[in-house]
Amino acid sequence: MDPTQAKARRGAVVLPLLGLALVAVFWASLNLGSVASSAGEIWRILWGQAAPGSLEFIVNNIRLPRSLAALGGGAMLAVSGLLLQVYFRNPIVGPFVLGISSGATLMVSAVMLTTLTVGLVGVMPYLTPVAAFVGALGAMSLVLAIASRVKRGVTLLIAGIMIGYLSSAVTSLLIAFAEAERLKGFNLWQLGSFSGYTWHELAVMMSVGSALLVLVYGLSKQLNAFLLGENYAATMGVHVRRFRMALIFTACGLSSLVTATAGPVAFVGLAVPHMARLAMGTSDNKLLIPATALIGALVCGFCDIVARMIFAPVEAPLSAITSFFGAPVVIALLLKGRGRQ
Amino acid sequence: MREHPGQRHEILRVEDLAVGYGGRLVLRGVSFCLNSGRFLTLLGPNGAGKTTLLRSLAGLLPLLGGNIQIDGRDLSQISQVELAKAQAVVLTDRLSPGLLTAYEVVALGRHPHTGFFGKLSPGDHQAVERALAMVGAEDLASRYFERFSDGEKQKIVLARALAQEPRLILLDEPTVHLDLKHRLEVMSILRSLCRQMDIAVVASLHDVDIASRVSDQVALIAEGGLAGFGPPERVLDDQAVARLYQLEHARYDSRLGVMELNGGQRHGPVLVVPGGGAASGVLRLLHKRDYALMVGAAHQGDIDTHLAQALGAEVAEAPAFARPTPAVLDRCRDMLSRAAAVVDSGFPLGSANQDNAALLGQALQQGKTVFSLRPPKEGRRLLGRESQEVIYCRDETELAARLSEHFHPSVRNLAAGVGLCRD
Repeated sequence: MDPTQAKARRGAVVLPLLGLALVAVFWASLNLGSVASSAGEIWRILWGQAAPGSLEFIVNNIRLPRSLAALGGGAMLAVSGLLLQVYFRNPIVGPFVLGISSGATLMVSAVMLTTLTVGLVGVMPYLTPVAAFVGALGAMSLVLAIASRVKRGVTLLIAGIMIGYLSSAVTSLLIAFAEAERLKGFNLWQLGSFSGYTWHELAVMMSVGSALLVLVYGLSKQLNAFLLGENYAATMGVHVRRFRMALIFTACGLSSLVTATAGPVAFVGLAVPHMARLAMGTSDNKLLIPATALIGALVCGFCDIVARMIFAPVEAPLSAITSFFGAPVVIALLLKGRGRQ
Repeated sequence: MREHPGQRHEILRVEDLAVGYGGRLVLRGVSFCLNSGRFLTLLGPNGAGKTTLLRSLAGLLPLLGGNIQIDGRDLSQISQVELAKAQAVVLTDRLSPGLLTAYEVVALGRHPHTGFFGKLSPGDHQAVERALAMVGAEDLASRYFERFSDGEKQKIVLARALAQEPRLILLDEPTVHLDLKHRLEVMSILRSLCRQMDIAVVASLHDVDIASRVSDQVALIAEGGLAGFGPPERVLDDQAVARLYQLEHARYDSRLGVMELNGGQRHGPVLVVPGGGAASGVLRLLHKRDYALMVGAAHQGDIDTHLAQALGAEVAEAPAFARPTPAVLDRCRDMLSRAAAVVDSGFPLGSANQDNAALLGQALQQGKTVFSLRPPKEGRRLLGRESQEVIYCRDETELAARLSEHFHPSVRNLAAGVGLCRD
């Protein structure tokens, strides 16, 4: 008798299926766009067999990095959300609950809405992502500093939310005094988008992100102990404070990386862990982490396609699509049952 | 698992411990030790510091002073993982592990024994299955934990602690949300852990009577320290318990091992003539209905006698298995003269009880109202001609109703008038 076998078998079926679906979404993402293309052409371009031309340029420098960014970013946001949901034992917690997006938004608003950096724009092409990353890191360092002091997760959660409010307060002051035409660009950034990714940005996000994901999988044993709560985890041998630092570092790191380049993409980090739990029928993080990453990539990739197609050639805001698509799905899944935690 | 009953060794030693939260000292000067396979219960009123002490023993709270040794090693010298291998903890925290089966929850107890990724070896699976079998929850294994009742959950939580294969288990109020069946089940599981697996148990409990039945040692915790420590037979006397909980409306009877509420003594007094345990039911019921009770003649060692004393009744006590002395009989007659009513408990007729039968006869002669739980035929044989005055009742409830009519006739009229139930 070993009931864990059944779960493992389910994982052996569901995970490859998710992988296949992911390949399909990736392929669709390369094929769909305002410039018409045939599947054969895309295939040849991918393998470097096509002659240089406008389509070749579009696929290699726009669609390919964008698709990869959407998939990678989705996976990272979702795993970040999962980590914080397990740690705070709270199902409505997402990757931005500790003020990561607010910190990033604050710095971006400082860059985009004020004249502080007028001279710099020409000098630094990556000003916005760098500002966002600095903001996210600032919020994260503050949270980590608090995390090393407090005894209980709840205190940290409240502190994180307060940091978020403080950053938002400063941001809204900046908005109040900003010029109207600057506001539009800022508003669009706030809604998140995977368009306009450069290979440089992608390389940074993917390499650091993959390292963090590997680190997260290494935390899965302790994460499972945390399913019983902080006290039980401690009595089973988990070094709670050290684990908390590792968890906050990876969770915030993952969401900071995505936010810096894509802006705050709503909803994915909050909802995907629920979908993963229901798909896998377990809260065992060894299965849940890969499933969450795959479903996060799927959802984000799919929503990115919708965002660029639905009002083409105008780009729809990504956060709007993820929420439109995801919120009803989560409600339906939860009502169907088994969705507690 | 380890099985060396008989060879007991010291598993837990606590020396001059001071515990509390931050700057607030809750308990100080706590010292005791506990051997393997022994059951220690922490007793004390709410807020006395039982939980604080347990959390300190568990390593969840930094000590404010003194030291704790587990298996001969200082707590501060033991790594967290090593401690988890020696000691398992059951807290009052509510578990909500999401979509985990009971088996997976129990398997989490293998945490200190497994490797980096927490993969379960065949040996780990065996330990999980043994733990499930110990608590009798094999049939729950593949179901989701969150759907269980409180009692089932608590058994799984115990199994999780057992899967840790500890030598010492600390439990904070392990029976607090459970119904009677599961309360007894959990206690008997804990008891068998000590007996069969040589595990030492430290548990905080609220029931003094259960504690006195299961514990090898009890620690009384009150007023910022250890107010008593030792075997319950020695430590738990009536005064110690009354002091510990500052009882005002109840008393503890160490011979019966039960708590009794103090009665209001608003009606009566009623003389109950006891014998051979026949009066227990009626004593409890009349006590509950606030009658002042007198009991005689009551034989030493009779359950009726213990109960009457525990309930605070006035008792004329006669030697065991013998006829009452003249002094006792005088006392009975005195009580009879003061009694507003007399109850014949239906005691068995024997040579030692013949004076009690005579007492009933005297009651009738003095014109007292006598209520009897005896079958009327037997009553006539016992009391002869006078017996038609006796009010025979089928059971204690009817007797209580008749007594109530006797003391409050207006209530009877009112009740009869509007057809109320006369209980």
